[in-house]
Amino acid sequence: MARITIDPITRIEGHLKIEVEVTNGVVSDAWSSGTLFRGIEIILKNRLPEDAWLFTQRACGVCTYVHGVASVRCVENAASVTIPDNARIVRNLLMGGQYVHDHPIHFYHLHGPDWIDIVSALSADPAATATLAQTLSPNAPVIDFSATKTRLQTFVSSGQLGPFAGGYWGHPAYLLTPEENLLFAAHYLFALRQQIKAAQMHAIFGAKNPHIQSLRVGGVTCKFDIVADRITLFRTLLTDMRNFIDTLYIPDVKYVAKKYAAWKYGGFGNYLCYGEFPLASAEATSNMLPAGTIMNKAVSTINQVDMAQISEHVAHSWYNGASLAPAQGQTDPNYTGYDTTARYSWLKAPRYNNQPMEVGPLARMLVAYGKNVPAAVSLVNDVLQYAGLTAADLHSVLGRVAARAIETKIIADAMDTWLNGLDPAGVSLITPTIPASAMGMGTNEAPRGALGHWINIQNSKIGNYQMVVPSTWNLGPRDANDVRGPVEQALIGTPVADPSKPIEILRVVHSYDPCLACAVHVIDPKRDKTYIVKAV
Amino acid sequence: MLSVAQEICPKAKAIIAIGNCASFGGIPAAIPNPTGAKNVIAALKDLTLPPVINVPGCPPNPVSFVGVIANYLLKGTLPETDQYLRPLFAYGSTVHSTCPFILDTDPTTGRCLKPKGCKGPNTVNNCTTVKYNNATNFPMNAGHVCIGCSDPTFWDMNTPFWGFLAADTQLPPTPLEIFEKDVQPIAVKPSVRKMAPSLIQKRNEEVFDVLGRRVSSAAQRVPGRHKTPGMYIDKTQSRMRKILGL
Repeated sequence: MARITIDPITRIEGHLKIEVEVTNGVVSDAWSSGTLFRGIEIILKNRLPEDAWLFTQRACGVCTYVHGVASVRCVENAASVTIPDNARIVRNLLMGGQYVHDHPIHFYHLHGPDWIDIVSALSADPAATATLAQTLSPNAPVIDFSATKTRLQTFVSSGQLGPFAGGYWGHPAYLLTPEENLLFAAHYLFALRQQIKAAQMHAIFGAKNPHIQSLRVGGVTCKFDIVADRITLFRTLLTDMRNFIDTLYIPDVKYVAKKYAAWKYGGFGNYLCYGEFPLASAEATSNMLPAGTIMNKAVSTINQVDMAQISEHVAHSWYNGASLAPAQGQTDPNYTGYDTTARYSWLKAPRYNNQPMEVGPLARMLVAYGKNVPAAVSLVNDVLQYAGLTAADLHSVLGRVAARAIETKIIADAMDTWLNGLDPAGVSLITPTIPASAMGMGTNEAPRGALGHWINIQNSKIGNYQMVVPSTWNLGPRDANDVRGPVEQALIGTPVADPSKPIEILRVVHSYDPCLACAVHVIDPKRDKTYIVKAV
Repeated sequence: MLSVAQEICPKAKAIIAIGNCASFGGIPAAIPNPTGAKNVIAALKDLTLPPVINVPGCPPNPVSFVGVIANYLLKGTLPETDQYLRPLFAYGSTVHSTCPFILDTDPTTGRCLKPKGCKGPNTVNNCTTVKYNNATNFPMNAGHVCIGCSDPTFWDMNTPFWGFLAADTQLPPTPLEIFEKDVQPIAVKPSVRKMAPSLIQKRNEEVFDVLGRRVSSAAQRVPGRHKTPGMYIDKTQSRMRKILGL
């Protein structure tokens, strides 16, 4: 069988290696390998539970905030704490702010160059592009496409292509016209400036972005930001972001989905969502985005989430030990070398009831759709109708891209309402007593998917700490039953036109928005050549 | 990553270590450092490197990073640093000394967090002046103590974050301990140029118009090309009178 390795995959976060087997121009098998280990769970041992969230937030600066809030939640769970309403709302605004910052960047800057041929934009007619822009979204901010084209041309002519170096420009899988490419290239540049505002919004209640510094076990510390003029500033920036989402992000996603409607590859079928954005103090039952699991694409049957069903397999990972539930989990690293027939990843393989589960925007939106959350139903149906797709087509790369945009809009719109609930005279922080001995669990839905932290407090210190993160669910290896992880399964059936330019593989991997870096080597055994492919 | 750094770094004109991880080892190097992580200088200590400058922080302030680049582009050199190779323009004063709440110490309403364990007094950075995200906010303004994220080994040295250091707390390592080799801070010579005496004399012979512009100098005077200095001054004065409406 022909093995293909792509090395390295960029436009993701972290360190990931993908190997695929191609038979007759189609992927027939795949292996996903996480290649970096830092040992944060080990570093947390014997430290104070109150300090944990500052450490865990450094699991990632791209998905900033999410690990911090999962950590304070798990200590609050261990201490049976209910946080004040102001804190609940601020945390929702911070979590929502992270989505509003993160998802547009993923579409335009990380995933975008897989769909948009930047070099093709150089032969576009700016006037025709302006007409197209007007048709696509009449209320979008006006952009000078002639200036954009000149700017791109100057950049390309300099010979140092920067982020565009190593791209597969001209690949037949690019389906957009030069004018469409210039339009979206201009939006790429616009979105690069726009994300500054989202980060600024985050810093109002979060002290700074990345790495928020206003949480504490028991609430939030930023009471002096819960005042009228800061709320007004937040709302001003949020309104600008909502305008961007409504006039650029959503219309662009719909248009790209329609042009690439034939690209229904990269689907999975099992989905897991922990639920997020508690709208009342009784958090678990009041989430705006509901919890649930879906098995085998049966969106009409949403099951309740039972956390006791979660275990982490290590059979194909570089750890000693057996499959364990996270509350009893261990991190005992043992690197034995990369071997796809044995152990090949630093990621463990999380399983729910021994099944691999996809987490992330598509999981959230399918659960919301299945549970008839009105905003989800109407937006999903709108995209399906525009692009000429059916609900069954949602189980694909296209479904993931669309779900990401749809939930950004739902959350951004809700944030405006949440602001009204802040009370400048209210309490934002309580001082709980943390027991000397306790177990706790904290979950959230990070932009990339379901996230859980488990703590075992012993003698007032952290005895054990385990994190099961979204990209571990999505990009983990095979389990003890040799069942593939989601991305490994999703890659099967993907066409590969040219093994030296595997853009199709990038499209599937990027659709999961990995928070891991990818290193992949490509080998085509039929032609007996080794391709070392640099992915942009 | 290490092999790439070993290949590329010796060929660079300068190395900017961004963030606490690159500057000092950061969180992966926190006790017990399970992977043996090191800062850039220590990891490459056996190689001959170009000048290295550290821009630490978790995260570092991008304004400080851009400041280093701007300094290099404009002057061709790296800016002056402290013993940990942090540029003084950003890390020259303690967080506490520049904090707006330094005098706000009322026990009930005061916003100074020093009594709560703020590490501002023993940390250098520019968070309180430059702030973050287009000068929107910084931790103490958001009610949270400084955790000292621009210092080496702060993850071990500054915990508990909301508390005070025990008597046997690990102190910051010396530069030799953290970098595993001797490093010299970058010193910048003052930019006063000294002119040669012959040039000073020529300069004294120069003629300046009412606007302080040099009209001509004896050294530059070419026969037949210039009128006498007096006429230049006269012309300039009449031009000025016209401009000023006099």
